[in-house]
Amino acid sequence: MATIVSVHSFRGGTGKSNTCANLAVLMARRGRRVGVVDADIQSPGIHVLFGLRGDDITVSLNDYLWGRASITDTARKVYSAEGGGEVYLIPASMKTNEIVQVLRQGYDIRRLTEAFRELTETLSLDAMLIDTHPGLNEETLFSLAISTAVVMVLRPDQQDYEGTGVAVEVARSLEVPRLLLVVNKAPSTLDARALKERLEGTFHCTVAAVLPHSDEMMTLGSADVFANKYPNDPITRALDGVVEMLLAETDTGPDGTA
Amino acid sequence: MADSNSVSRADILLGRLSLERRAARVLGTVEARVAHMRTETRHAVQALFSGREDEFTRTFGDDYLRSLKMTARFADAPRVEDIERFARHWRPLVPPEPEVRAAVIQAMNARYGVSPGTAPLSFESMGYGDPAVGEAYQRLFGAALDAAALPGREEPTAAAVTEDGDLENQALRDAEAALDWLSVPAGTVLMREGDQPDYLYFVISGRLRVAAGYGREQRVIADLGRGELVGEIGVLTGEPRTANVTAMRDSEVVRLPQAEVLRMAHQSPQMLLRVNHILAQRLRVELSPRHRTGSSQLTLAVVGLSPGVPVRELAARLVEELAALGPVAHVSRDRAEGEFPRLRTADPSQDGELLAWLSEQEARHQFVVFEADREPGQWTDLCIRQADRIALVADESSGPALTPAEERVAALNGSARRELVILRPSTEAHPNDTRRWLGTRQVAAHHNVVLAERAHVARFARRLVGQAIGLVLGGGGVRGYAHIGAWRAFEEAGIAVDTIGGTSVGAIVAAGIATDRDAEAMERLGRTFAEGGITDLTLPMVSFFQTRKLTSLLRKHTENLRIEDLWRPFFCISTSLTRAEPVVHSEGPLWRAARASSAIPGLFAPVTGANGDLLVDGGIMNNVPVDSMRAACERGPVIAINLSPQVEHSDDYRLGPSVSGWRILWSRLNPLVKPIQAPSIFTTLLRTTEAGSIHRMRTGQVLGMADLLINPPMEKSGLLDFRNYDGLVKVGYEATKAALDQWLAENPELKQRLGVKPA
Repeated sequence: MATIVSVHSFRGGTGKSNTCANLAVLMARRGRRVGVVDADIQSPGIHVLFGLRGDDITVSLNDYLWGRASITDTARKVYSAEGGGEVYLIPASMKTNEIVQVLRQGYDIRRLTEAFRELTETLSLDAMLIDTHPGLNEETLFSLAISTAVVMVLRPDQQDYEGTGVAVEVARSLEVPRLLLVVNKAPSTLDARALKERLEGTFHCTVAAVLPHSDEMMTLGSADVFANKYPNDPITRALDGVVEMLLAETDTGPDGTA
Repeated sequence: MADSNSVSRADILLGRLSLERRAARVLGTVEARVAHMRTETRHAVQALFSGREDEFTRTFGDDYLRSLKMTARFADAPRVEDIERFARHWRPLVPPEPEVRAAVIQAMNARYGVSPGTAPLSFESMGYGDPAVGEAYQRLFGAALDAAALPGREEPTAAAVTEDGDLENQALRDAEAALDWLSVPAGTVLMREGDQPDYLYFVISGRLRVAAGYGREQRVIADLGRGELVGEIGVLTGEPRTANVTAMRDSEVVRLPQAEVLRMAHQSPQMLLRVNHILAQRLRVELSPRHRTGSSQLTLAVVGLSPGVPVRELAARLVEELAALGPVAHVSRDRAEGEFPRLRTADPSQDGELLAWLSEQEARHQFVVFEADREPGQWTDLCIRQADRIALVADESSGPALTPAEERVAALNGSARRELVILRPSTEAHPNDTRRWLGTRQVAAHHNVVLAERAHVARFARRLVGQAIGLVLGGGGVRGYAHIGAWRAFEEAGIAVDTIGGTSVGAIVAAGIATDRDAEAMERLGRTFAEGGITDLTLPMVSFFQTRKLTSLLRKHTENLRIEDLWRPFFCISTSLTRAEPVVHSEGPLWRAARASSAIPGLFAPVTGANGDLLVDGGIMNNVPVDSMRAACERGPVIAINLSPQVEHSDDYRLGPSVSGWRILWSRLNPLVKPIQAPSIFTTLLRTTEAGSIHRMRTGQVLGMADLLINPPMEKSGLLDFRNYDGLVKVGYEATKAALDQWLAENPELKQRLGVKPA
């Protein structure tokens, strides 16, 4: 079975989608075949990092959820690495009426489990990354509940600390097997090591990375995946460390069967 | 599930969270429906036994609003026994999906502690016993769906004795429990003439028609609406039913079995008194000349005949104008979908919750306006089915041929009254092609309306709901100039006359007013007639007067208009000498109708009607046609001006049994002989024309059907005194002004209904 990772944050603006895209690209660099699902169906956006505009999305996750398309039709290859690793994106619709339709009619998120099974089979995926909607709604809880690991992204900010406490508690009640915290946008003045220790003491879970605030990242402004453009930046290396942790216990290699 | 404030892996993976949310919503809807039904039945009982019938129509709305304000809860929180009692009625509110039903069962059990043993009908309504629901329950809650999973809880029923203070009387409580709620589809026959009586019915919503007679000869006795009682006579006397009662559209009624009524009659003399009171009142109303058959509460549908017709705008304007007459609700597809978003994809007529909501709208408003879609479809069908009256709206772009929308109306709701609205672009000229529209259609009335003219829309609104303001002008020869003065008094009072009719000279003045003349224009017109020499003598072969002048004046001043093209509806009465019967003119050339109506036999030549009949003055049959106006106005105020006193002033006539014209002439010329006082032949002919119908009016109470009857003092003026024009106008003005002032002072509530602007 493939690794299913939810990338979540309690509040918006933490760099959740950015982190998710980078993790996907770094996994592909390690030769993995990765699917990325934009489950943030009310405020989609991760397609931008892979160079797509809203208009480019002709078939989306929305079409699958309402039974208008098969899940394989919605997946498109957005990145290929030299070693054979690939990233497939299942984007959400950017059409106003389709987003409004979600609010009006809702959808059955439970169809996602079936979708994952089909995707991993037809595209021979090693990992699925889910870019979730911030906060706690039923769809997000569902994503957390079916994940083998959850990456919780937060900024060093009191509001984020408090919110993350709630999210971690809910994730525990949903019996998520692995919970990793990634601190994003940390100012250079902050002592990363002390912060890591403090958070691990508070939340009783691993802080996988403390990523410093980066002018390059800001300048890039989601126009590209950072790890792709700056493969040797300390941030990229730190994120690669998170990938290593995520892959460590669940599989043994590109063809591993964990 | 143990702690409703935490969330577990199973909650999420099984989707229990969203199912519980839906179940809570379903339960809320069921509670609202049960609360509504309980309030309604309770008020029905109170109306029957405590004499609060008059208040019935507004009680529910008041209770509802008060409870919203005070506690955001229903005045009557549903009790377990209410939920069980109305289980069959809230059944359509429970969605069919087994998972949802399982969740609703769970929620109902958790909230009310009911079990399949204590509330079998409720559990049946939620799908208890359906294997699919059982499976879903097992999957969701990990237990078999049986009595063991649903422990009953003995709860003190929220009977709230203090709240039910006036229900302490055990008889009332029993009655409430014995009442049976029925939803009856349109066309259902509730009772037939000759049937043995079984139930007493009380109307909650919809429309019941009471009619007697056989087959096509059915005579409509009454149309009953909310708050009215039917079947009480038979139930109390045991006599067979005396009339047929049919649901005109989908209706809701409560009924009480005969045995229960009789039992309560023994227990509660108050109830018998109450029924006696209702019977007496009904008898009095039916015997009254002002008896009105139409119901004051109506549902109306606005349906376009072609896609380009601005149905939405007309409906919105109609609602604005109806607001002056009573509480009004505007129900459009947008509004319904706002309340129930799922209607976007579902058939609204199958949606129990929507229908329940509509019935509440009806309970809370005097008028409900249904706005149809531009195109035929399920929503438009629903509007048609729900309506007492249907306004079929055309504009000049739609052809005169029957449209699919009309075929739907005929197929779905043949009993609804249909009226045609033709939207016109401007008031610059009267329409001239209304005939084209009416030719192929069976409509009860038609309206020429310019949407931008507020007065037009207001008139349409009042006429559609049977509250038009009607003015009837009676005959009376030259005294008819008094009508012109009366018209000034109406103008000054600001009363919007919606429809006008008359006889003889009343028809001539009414024709002038119907062509939208104000008081000043009418006064000018009257002077033209007074000075027009219409009484020039001719060789009396056909008549004494030359008819040519009257005819040409009428043609000129009615601009060759046809009655059906007028903005303001008009009718007049003539007499068919051929058939010896009254003729009501409501279409055809206006001048010809007015000319026929005023053809005093002997003085003016008769007119030949469209079918070749010989037509003369309508005064012979109906000199002040209040009855014809009442038919057009139903509940609206009808004002009549009568210029023919019951006792005519008589000069000191002294004439022998045989008198010749030559002798009279001689007596007047000879200063030595006392002149013979004799009525002129003209006076005699005119009074002869009127005498029959004046007598009938007195005995048949035609005049009594008017809400306001104005009798300007006419005794002093001769019937053909053409020189006294100004004097007659003044008498008409003063008498009318005084009568209107007094009437409005005595009935201040009329001002709003009459469109009178506050001074």
